[in-house]
Amino acid sequence: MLNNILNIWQKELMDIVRDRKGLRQTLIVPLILGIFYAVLNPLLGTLITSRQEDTLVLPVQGLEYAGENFIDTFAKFGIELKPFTGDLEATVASAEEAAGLIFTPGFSDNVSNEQEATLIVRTNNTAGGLFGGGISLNRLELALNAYNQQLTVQRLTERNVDLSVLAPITLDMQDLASAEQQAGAAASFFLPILVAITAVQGGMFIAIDVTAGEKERGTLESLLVTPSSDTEIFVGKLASVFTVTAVPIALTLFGFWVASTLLPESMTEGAGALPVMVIVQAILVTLPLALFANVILMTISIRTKTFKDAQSALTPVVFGVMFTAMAAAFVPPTGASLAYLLPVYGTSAVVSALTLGGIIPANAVLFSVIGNLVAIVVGIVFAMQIFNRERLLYSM
Amino acid sequence: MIEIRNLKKYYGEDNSIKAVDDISFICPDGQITGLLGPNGAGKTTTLRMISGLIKPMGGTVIVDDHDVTRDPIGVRRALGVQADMNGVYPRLTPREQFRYYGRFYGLKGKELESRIQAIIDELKMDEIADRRAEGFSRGQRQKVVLGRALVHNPPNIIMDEPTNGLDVMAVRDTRDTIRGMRDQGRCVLFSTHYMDEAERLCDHIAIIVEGKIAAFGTPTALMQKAGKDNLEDAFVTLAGKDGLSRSEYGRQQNNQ
Repeated sequence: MLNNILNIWQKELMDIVRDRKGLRQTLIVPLILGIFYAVLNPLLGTLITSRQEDTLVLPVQGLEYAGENFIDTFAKFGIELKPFTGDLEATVASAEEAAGLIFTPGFSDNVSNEQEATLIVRTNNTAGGLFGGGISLNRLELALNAYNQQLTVQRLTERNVDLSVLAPITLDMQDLASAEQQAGAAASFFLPILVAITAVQGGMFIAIDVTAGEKERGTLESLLVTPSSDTEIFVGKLASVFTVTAVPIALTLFGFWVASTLLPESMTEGAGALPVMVIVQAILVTLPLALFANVILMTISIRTKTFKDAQSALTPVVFGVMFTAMAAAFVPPTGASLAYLLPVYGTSAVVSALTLGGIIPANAVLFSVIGNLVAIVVGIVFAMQIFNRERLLYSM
Repeated sequence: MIEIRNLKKYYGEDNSIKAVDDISFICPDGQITGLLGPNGAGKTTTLRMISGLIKPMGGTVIVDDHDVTRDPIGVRRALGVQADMNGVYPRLTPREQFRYYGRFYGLKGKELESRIQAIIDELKMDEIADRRAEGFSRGQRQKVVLGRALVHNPPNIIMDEPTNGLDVMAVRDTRDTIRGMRDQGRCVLFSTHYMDEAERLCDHIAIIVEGKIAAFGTPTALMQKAGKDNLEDAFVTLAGKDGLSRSEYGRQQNNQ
């Protein structure tokens, strides 16, 4: 039995190694994906920081009423006030500008005289896309709060009021997260999703090739008339698919890790890279999930007629896995929950917990491995029910 | 020797489609037996039941004392099967494909390699033996498929329409190979819908129409039985015009 399984495993590996398209899909794509995800998070941070540091030019009507103090305060926040003529509200509403200010006549004098001074602020947080409106409005809000606070301090000082009334409590805040924990926090969302996708996507090409591909080439019938059992054929093919899937999982995670270590400090803000042991543990925890995914992929593919049919049939599986992994990132299980038994969800939650570097709930790793193993056995039993020679032939 | 006993296979919800309907015949060693019939007559279904790919609904097949329903693995060990789909692994060379199949039959080491070389010599595949099969002609692919079926040196060979779609030279090669296998004492059973091929090659012919054996015997005996001087006329007579008119053969004849 073992000889036949080994024979099929060897042949399928030789076949995939000689297939440039398959190799590209299996080796290069996951590596790029890992590097991409490693760079993506710090890159977003850098873009946001860069946007925050740029001078923000705000269109203003009635600038002559603003007063020097207001203009100086905003300048300290990198906000330049630019006179604007025309319909400011319409300009902001159409997202041409993220915000606009309208000073009512006598604004500065009213402020000085402690009379009602109205500043009209119009905003549109959709302006400028992801790195536009929201970031600009945050800065505007900070500048306005600073101006308000400055006036409050000034007025209280004039009235000889102890300024400590403004701070009833003394805060001594310090972020004790280590550089590794900060790196983990950034990766704990991306990594579980990346790992789950790789577990499915990594073996997809070969899973289709050894099942639907064999049908499409017209070689399946010849294989089925050899003195090997259905189980030997299925397990031999599964072993080759699993071997090939393990490589992209390792490549993706090590690609992620290597890219993280090579990123300049200006991008990571001192967060550093994840410890290599976390990467190794994440790979080990993901392997049972990969095997389960392989069983699902092969079971579905064997029922299709062609490579293209199989690709279409497997697309929902990829999305299903991705959304389940996202669910684990957004709503992680609490405590030593039985939810860790759920194949994709449990593994993603464990990888997320590993990445964060905190205490992993008791039994979480065990539950996730058991959950996957049970799913694998059920999957293989089900696959063998439909891996029936006659039905295979007549679905062609 | 292949012995087919009351073999049956029906399809459809109420088993109304009788793909193979209670057929029996014997294919002796050292002889070529042809399964002759129009497309859709039940030839491929019969061959698939012999190789254990399809379970019979009734009857059985005995291959060298192995019963296909009780010992399908034993039957497959005693059989070399050239299926109707000439699929090859495009990224493997013929030698590698023979090695892959040979290992399923427990062959290894020098024994396997010398058997592979013997197949390459027998099928005259020297030039293509170590080339990847991608881009092979239909005839070359046919040789690879046949080589895979012969790698374990089986005493019984079944072939499904082996010359279908081949050019003239490849057809001649294939027919020579079939004769060679008979001369080696093997039992050869092959399906065809070409009358001249059946007449030239076969020691015995089983005429199959609508899943039933309409006649069985040597080409000469079949012609005598039908009172005709060529196999095509004998085939039409013995198969019965009603049966043939319902088959693809009948439709082709009507169109002509």
